[in-house]
Amino acid sequence: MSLEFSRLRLDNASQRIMKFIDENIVGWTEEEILNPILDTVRSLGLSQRVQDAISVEKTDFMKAEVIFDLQIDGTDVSDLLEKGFRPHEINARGKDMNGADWLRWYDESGKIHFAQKVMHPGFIGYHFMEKGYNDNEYNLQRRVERETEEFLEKERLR
Amino acid sequence: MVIRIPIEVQTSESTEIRELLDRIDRAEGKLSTMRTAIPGRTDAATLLGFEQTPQTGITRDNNRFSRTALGVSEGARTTPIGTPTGVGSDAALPRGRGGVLSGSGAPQDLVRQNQFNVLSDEVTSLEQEFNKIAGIGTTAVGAIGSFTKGGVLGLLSSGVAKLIPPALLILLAKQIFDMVLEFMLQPGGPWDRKFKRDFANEYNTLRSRDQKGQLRTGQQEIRLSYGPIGKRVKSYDVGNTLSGVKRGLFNEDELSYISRGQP
Repeated sequence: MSLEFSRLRLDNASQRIMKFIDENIVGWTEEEILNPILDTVRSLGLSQRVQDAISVEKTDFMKAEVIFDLQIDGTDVSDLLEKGFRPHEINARGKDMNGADWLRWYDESGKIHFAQKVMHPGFIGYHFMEKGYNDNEYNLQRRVERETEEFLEKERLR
Repeated sequence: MVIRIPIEVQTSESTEIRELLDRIDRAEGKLSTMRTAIPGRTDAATLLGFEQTPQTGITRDNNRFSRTALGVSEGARTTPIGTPTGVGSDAALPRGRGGVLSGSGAPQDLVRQNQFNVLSDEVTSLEQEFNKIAGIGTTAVGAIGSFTKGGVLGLLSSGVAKLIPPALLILLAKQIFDMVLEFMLQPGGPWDRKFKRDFANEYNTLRSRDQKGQLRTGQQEIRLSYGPIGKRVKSYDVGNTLSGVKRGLFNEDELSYISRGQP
């Protein structure tokens, strides 16, 4: 019975700490993880559309997710941009499939080219999400620790 | 496929708090065991100065304003096993900031003691007392058993008596050797290795903010003594910041003082 006071006090402290973290986890993740990722995206010269596709969402208690969701013409390309893809062949769709029988493109000099199929060399991917998380995970951890410490200090002085 | 990076926060504080809660559970179990084992006990709430009113059953703190305000010494209180506590015992002194009570402390200074510490101390003392009683009983039973079988007299009559003086000498030498070894290896002793204290680290007011944070969150620890510097302390008085919190010897506020280098 008497130890119930200590138990309630500790429970209360624990709940307050976790609630504080839960309320701020999105903001901290945006500042410590998302902003560095966006800086990397800008430095890579990617478009504003790519930057807008990266966001932070709260998923659960004390949990959040950094999400990269980019759709172009109904096709999800976020995975391709992040992780890249293997070399592959590109074939003309054909008139039977509501496409064209020939592929057409312009080179740098403006000369037009035609081919029925081409070989794409593949793409290694930008990996800005992965790098951004790995490089800044520690900063987020320290941020949470620091903010929690300051929160406790303020509570103590209050 | 959408790229998702999950972020999950698991604080060390919550782990420590959980451990403290477990410790409270254990202490509560011990307390209930002691209550049933030792008759004539006093309720722990009474020891803390909380008195249960018969009419309402609501506890109130009568110690804060009555005893201390009237100048009655804390030493007047007694534990359930009749051992006086108070002057000379740190149970009656606040443990904050070095455990030294200023000369004309306000009444709230005297009741600033952490409730958990008080209860933990009481449980420990009760346990020790209980063990002592149990030990005496076991010894008495053993001695009676040997006499009833004629064991001691039988041994003496069979010529073992000649071997007793050299055996005593050997035992004495072993005891002395053990004592010297214990003295040399004790915390703060000349051969102390494991519990070597670093006073400069304990009293480092210029500790960096990062290190303070790590101390507070349990990523780092500093070895310290729970007794005053310069005074020889026993092995159970030496530990580190984490064990101190886990054992309930000081609370979070005091840990923050230590992390600032102001023990």
